Amino acid sequence: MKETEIVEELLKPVMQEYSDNELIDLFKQGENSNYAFNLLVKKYQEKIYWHIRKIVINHEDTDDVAQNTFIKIYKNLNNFRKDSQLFTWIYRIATNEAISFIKSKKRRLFLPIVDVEKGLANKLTDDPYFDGDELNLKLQQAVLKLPQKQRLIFNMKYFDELKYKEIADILKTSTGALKASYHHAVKKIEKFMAED
Amino acid sequence: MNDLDKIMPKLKKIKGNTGFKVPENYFNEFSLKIQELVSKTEKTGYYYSFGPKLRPRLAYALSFFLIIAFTITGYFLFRDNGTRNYTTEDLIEYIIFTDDDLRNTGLFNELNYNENNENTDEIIEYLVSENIDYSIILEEY
Repeated sequence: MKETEIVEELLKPVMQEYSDNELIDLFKQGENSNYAFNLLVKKYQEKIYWHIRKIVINHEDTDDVAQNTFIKIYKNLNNFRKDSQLFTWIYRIATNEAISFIKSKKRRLFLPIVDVEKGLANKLTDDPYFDGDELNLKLQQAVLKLPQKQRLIFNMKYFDELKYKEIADILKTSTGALKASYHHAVKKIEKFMAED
Repeated sequence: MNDLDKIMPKLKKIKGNTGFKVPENYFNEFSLKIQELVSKTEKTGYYYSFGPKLRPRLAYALSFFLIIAFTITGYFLFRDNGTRNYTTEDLIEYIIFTDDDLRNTGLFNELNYNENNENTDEIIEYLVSENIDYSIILEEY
């Protein structure tokens, strides 16, 4: 077992001990802020990584966006006022960072955002960090054809299995609008998957 | 069960799996990387990232700065060469410290002063009749 894995194993019970609110309080106390933030990173890094990965697709880009997300969280955690849940706030930052990344890529390449996403879909087959079968590939290509907001909602609902209320808090929208978007997304994916 | 899985039972096979993977040991190293970045942020107060967001902004800012710098440099360079104004004192100083030929052929010809010129006597006569001390004028030229 590697050293980092041993540390991970040792930290597991500690991480489970602290609730989000306790982690925030520990961070705000100042003395143990680095320790608290490290626990927070370990608690959320995988969820945040996969959430961003489904938006930007490529691993290296996801790594950059995830780093920026956690640095932003670190810088702003002292101002977090517990009006919303910590995980909702973190997801919102990650979503905004990922969307900004896609937009900046669009600006850099002078492409419409739809073409950027089409490019991502085409690159999937050559991606060394994609080992899905044909069904996975087809599903991802279908998801990448969705308009950006529908894609976000579909990913959070279908893959992350978040509740409508949670998605509404993250995207600051109504659950009614979300349900309609998700319904449209499912219909489009169904149609795409049926095509050969 | 998800809505989509109900509509398309074949998707149940992948159970919401995206097909994406990460390099080995990625998440353990990721948290260490974040710790390093955090300590850098603490030391400097800000965090240098040449990541996706900053790279294009830095490039745009740098290009903009270079354009402005070249424009300003060019403006002052051409302004100095083309539009410099000489004062009367500068001109006099220039004439005084330039060789005699220039003085004789340039400015003095312009003044039309020539000792052998026939008009010179007439001018002197006129000045005497008007009671003007022409020696001052002659000294001047």
